[in-house]
Amino acid sequence: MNIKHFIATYLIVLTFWILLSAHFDVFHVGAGIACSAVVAYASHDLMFKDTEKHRLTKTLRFIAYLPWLIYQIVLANIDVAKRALAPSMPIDPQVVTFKTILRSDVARTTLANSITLTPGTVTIDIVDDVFYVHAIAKEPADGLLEGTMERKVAHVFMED
Amino acid sequence: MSDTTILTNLLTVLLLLIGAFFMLAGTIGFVRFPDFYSRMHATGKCDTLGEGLMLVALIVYGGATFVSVKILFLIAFILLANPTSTHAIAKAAYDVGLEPWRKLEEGVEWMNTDEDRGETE
Repeated sequence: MNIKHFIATYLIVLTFWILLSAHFDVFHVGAGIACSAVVAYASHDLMFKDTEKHRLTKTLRFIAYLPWLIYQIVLANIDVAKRALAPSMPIDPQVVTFKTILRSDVARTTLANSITLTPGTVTIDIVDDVFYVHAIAKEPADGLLEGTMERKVAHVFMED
Repeated sequence: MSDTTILTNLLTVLLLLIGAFFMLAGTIGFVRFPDFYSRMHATGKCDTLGEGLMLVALIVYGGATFVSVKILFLIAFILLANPTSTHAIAKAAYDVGLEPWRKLEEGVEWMNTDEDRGETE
């Protein structure tokens, strides 16, 4: 058992408990302290992997990545809303594939979810290194193949 | 009513309206788009922002309370769960072998899709 991981998990779980319970009497806080200990003991090795390096930098970079992602989500919604509401309905769906440079599961999941959330593209599948992406029209597909997002994700998870 | 309350209420209503607009656009897209995959675009994206904006409106209305923190968690989970489930459904459809709809050559309406698919099945 890694005591550092246990304590970190314990603090996170306990904070979560207190925020969600919002009661500060002896019973609720006491139950939180006890339950968090059990949960942290059972799951501390799930939360942190021993092999992972530069965890703090990755977390900070991920937080810095979020505003850009939210901006992209807003763009995506305006784009889809336009296509849905325009009488001519300008869509031309196609499936595009590209090979990824990302290695870790977390980075790939982040990229897949980011692709799904951003303009006109939905991730269908990842087979080995290849992403299968369904694009609603040609422009979003081209935008994706430029790889801006992949580079950003690679930067977040220090794989560039 | 003080100025800040009016401002808060105004912002809440504005966020709710924009959120509702995106939900509506998503639903219209869901009805209008020709096939399964393009419909995922409409629901997977518009729902995320629509729900997100509405929840932000509730936070603005409620102020800095514990309930707001819970709503913040809700937003985070929606941001995580929505694309994941969209992807899961899309992958399931792709694995089963559902062909994505392609735009047909000029002069052919997209309405013909269903007939096309009927022939291939």
